[in-house]
Amino acid sequence: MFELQSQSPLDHFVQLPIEAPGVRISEIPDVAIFGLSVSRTGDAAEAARDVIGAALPSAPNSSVAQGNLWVTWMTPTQWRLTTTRADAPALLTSLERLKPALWAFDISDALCAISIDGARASDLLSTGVPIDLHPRRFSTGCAAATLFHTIPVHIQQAHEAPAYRILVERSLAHALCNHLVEAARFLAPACTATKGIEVSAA
Amino acid sequence: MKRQPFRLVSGGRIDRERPLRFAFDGRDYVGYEGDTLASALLANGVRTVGRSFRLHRPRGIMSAGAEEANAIMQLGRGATTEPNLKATQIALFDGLDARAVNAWPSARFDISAVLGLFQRFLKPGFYYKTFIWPYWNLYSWLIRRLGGMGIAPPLADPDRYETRFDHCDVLVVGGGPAGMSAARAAAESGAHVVLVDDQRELGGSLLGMREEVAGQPALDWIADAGAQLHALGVRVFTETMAVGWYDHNLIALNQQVNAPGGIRQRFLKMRARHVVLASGAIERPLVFPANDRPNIMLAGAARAYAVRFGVAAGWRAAIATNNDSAYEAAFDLLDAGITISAFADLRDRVRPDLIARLRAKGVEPLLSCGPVDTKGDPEIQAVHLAPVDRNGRADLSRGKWHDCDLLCVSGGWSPTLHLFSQSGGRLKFDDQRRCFLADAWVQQGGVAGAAAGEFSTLEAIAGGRTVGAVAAGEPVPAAKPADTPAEAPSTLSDSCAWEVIGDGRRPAWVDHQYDVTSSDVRIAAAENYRSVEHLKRYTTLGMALDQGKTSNVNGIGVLAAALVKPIADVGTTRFRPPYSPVTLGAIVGHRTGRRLLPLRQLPTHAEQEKHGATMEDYGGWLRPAFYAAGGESEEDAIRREALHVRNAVGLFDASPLGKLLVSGPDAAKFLDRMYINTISTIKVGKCRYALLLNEHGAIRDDGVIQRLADDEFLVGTTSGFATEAGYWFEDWLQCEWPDLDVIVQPVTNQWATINLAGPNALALLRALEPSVNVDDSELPHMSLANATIGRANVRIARVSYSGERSYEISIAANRGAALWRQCLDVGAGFGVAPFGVEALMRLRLEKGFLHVGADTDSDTYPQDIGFGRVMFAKKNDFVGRRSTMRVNANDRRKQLVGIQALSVSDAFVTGSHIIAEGGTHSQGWISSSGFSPVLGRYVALGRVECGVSRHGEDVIVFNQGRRIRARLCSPCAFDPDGTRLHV
Repeated sequence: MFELQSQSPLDHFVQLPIEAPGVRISEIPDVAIFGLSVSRTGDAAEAARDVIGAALPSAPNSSVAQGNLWVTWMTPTQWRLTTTRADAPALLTSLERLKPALWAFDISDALCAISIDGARASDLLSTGVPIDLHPRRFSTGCAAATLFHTIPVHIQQAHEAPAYRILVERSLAHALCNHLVEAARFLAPACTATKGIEVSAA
Repeated sequence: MKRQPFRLVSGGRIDRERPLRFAFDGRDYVGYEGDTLASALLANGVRTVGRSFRLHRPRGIMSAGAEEANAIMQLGRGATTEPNLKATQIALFDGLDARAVNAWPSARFDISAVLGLFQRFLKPGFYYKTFIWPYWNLYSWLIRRLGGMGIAPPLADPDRYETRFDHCDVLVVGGGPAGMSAARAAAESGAHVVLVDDQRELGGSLLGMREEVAGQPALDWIADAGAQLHALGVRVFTETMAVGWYDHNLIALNQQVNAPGGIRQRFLKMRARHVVLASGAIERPLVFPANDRPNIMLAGAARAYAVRFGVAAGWRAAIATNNDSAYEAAFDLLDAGITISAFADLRDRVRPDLIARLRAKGVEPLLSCGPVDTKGDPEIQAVHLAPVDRNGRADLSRGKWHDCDLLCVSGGWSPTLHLFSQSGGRLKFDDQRRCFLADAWVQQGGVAGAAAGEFSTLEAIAGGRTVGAVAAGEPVPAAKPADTPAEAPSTLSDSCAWEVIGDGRRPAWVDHQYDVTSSDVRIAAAENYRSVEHLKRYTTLGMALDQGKTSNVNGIGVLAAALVKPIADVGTTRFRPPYSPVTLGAIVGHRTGRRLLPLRQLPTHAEQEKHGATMEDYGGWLRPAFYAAGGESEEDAIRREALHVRNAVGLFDASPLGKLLVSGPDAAKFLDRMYINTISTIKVGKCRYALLLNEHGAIRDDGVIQRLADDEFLVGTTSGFATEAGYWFEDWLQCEWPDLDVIVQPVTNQWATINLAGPNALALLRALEPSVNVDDSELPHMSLANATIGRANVRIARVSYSGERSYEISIAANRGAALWRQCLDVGAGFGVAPFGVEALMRLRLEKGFLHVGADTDSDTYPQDIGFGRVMFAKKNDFVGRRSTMRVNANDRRKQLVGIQALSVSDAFVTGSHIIAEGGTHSQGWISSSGFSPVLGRYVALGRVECGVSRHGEDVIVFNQGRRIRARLCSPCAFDPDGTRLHV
């Protein structure tokens, strides 16, 4: 019996990780991703807590972490759950028992997970992402569906360091990485210093 | 080293230890680090630096900032050349190579200056009136060649740029005393503040004057204020020009970075909660006869060159003004060792302290006097000063010529409110300050300093502090500080303030770049161009590269006088971004080449490249168009691939077809409401082709719907509609039918779909060793099966867009490439070969299958393409149903038909119109066309009036000028019984 091997959408296009001064771009391997949707008439929040060990976050653009598992608010009735591929089959089986109150869809192959970390990670993202990534507005646990120029992305801040996880549709993963790598290569200073005034780190 | 004859022996914020070599118009010069190109040219005694646009009149440096109208430069050569830069904004660097635009061979000697001889004929509207006969196109080629300034780079820009998004609570535009005070006040209130300034260092106007501020030298005050900003965490962007203010407080900033080996410029999109404009004011020139000679300069600019750059713009200066600021300029010029040969003030009363200080320095001011003529060749050598009455009329008989090599003029100050106007704000003329001020605000912002008419430094600092605090959320002070007039009360009439009128022999120039005179403005008014917007377009006043920064207000003043109206009633034009030109590369940033418009890649993209596919954009996806091999032409490859599918088996990556999982107890009911077909009757494991309409009844999309379970469907869409379909479904569910319990999950990217098509498709599928029986008995046409192939879960759907036996195998996308390779490996014995989108289009064209978007448009109803019976048989309502039942929805509709040329060799171009034999008007058009290799002739689809009932009728196809005889027929040209589906 032959076996059809799994292959990342980035395998043939970008050699990750890429390291540039202050920033590192890498692909997060072996990520399983589920879309969770609660029925309009059902109440699945409590049931989900029993399966994933944490309540589904109700605050917009927030996320909760439980070990290897992250759950991110997408809409008032939708969440995105990421875990490891190893843990995924058992988790999906448990989640599917919650139908029809809660529906779980395996979208692991639909998305590509990219990590951006380093002191200049937010500088790199701000070359294409229009939302405010300043720690006052976007801190650890925050998440947002937004655009990198015209490419839809979902950003989670994983650590204060800062470190971000980016989920991008697999068909556009190469395009996003092409942007990020180009921007990282020539990442300019945060701002120009004035004579006698040092650059503010903020 | 070359001597700089107009360089002061000391002073200026330049580094005299770092000389920089540069060239202008082919001649070499030397300046210093800290110079601009303008200051370096003046230091070297270069006076004529450009030519006006229309008449090629000699032009000299007028200002020291972004308002410069005359010194327009082409910088560099080859790929990095940049046109239309202002010499006043170009920081000098070693090796700089500049030349004047619109002049040949040089600014000093320009052959096109001969055009100036025709000045008296080139009045407003000259082009419109003259080149209308016999028709404009006769002249346009020549006039367009003469038009334009500067030369665009002929090669790709090798520099790199960056775009970046940024955010802050308060953005302060302008780093002068008002801006620094505003930034400090806002930061002290806890706001996250960004301060931007277009200069290399903060200080604004204070850098160009010797004034004391709050008891300390201006430069010390700047240093202290800067240190405070740093301590407060204010982010300071220097060499950063705010060029546009858009909706929701989005400010576009253009920043000079010039990182060695890196980014040249950055384009920042700053979203600010509150914006403080402390952008200063622009000095206006005086309008008087012969006022356009090189080295007639704004008084504030001459002062800045002396103080900031250590340059004497001339050693013997005359000054003409109508306000106090020129007195301060005179004091600084005198302190720099420059002689003042004459000082004229158009006012008859002036603050006594200013008169006394001037007299103390040995200069006697001439009150109620102004300039009425100048001499020079072409640079100014003498100015004629004469008494001027309250109406601006000069008494030439009592005038006197004064020698000078520099004439400093000041016609008052115009607050720099371009960004405010761009934001939607409205300006209002302030009689007391004689300038336009911000009046009605649309967005969150404030204005401080000279931009608010606070022309004295102390006023500006106080205003900045107040506005900055308010911007940070502090309460608005109960009362503003008492308004202090910026200058002494004047007895001048409005008309005198805007123009000195001589004997009429010499023109008075208002727009120095586009050669618009006060006489032109009056002619336009006399011809009834009374609106300032019409005046602008008729005379081109303010339409040059400088966008009228120094000329607009003077032009409005002259127009007001001509119309005998208050200037407030004339108003201003609306300012548009950018405030100053921006290099296109900065706006583009990294989005060059394939990053400009990212296309989606297939799961098998690398495999396609290995096969030598020609990849093209289809609905935002990069897909194989065809696979030309061994010098094959595109057409030959398409025919070969299409025939191969008919004769053996073809392999096609169909992954881009949209896929939506529609789940939930009400999923079937929801899809019944969305599609013209009855979806709820599809049995589990079966598929059905379905049409989706918009609210107007027009076909919006089509696809195959698979029923996976009682409460779950996989809805297929066209690739271009995949994303929008998900949004549209959600729209209906959330806004119209919130009672339905349905979940929509887009899964297009989750699945790779590999299509096997052709008579050998079943054999190939079997060779893949699926875990289920795929014989016709178990998997008939329009059914599906879940299975495993190579230990991976797959879904096999038997559907066909080619008319052949066809299977679509969907597998988790990351395994799509492996499945593709496996198909090629095990299919070698069955003659498997990949085929592209173009071959698929030929195959479906032979079958007469619809291509939504090509064979349909926004006026195509289901009944036009043969789906009327299906639709009208449906009892329940669905989106678009009622619109399809209108009377005119069924009256002489253009219906889908096949069109066959009567001659086998005739081909049609898509878009060709169809005319009835003997008729003259179009009855429809060809929507798809191509050569059918299996039929050996061209086939076409089109939409023709009442086409379904006209099968067999001969028509004329008007094809690229040829009339081709053709016959209307059934859309299906090949295998009408569908037997191939079962071969």
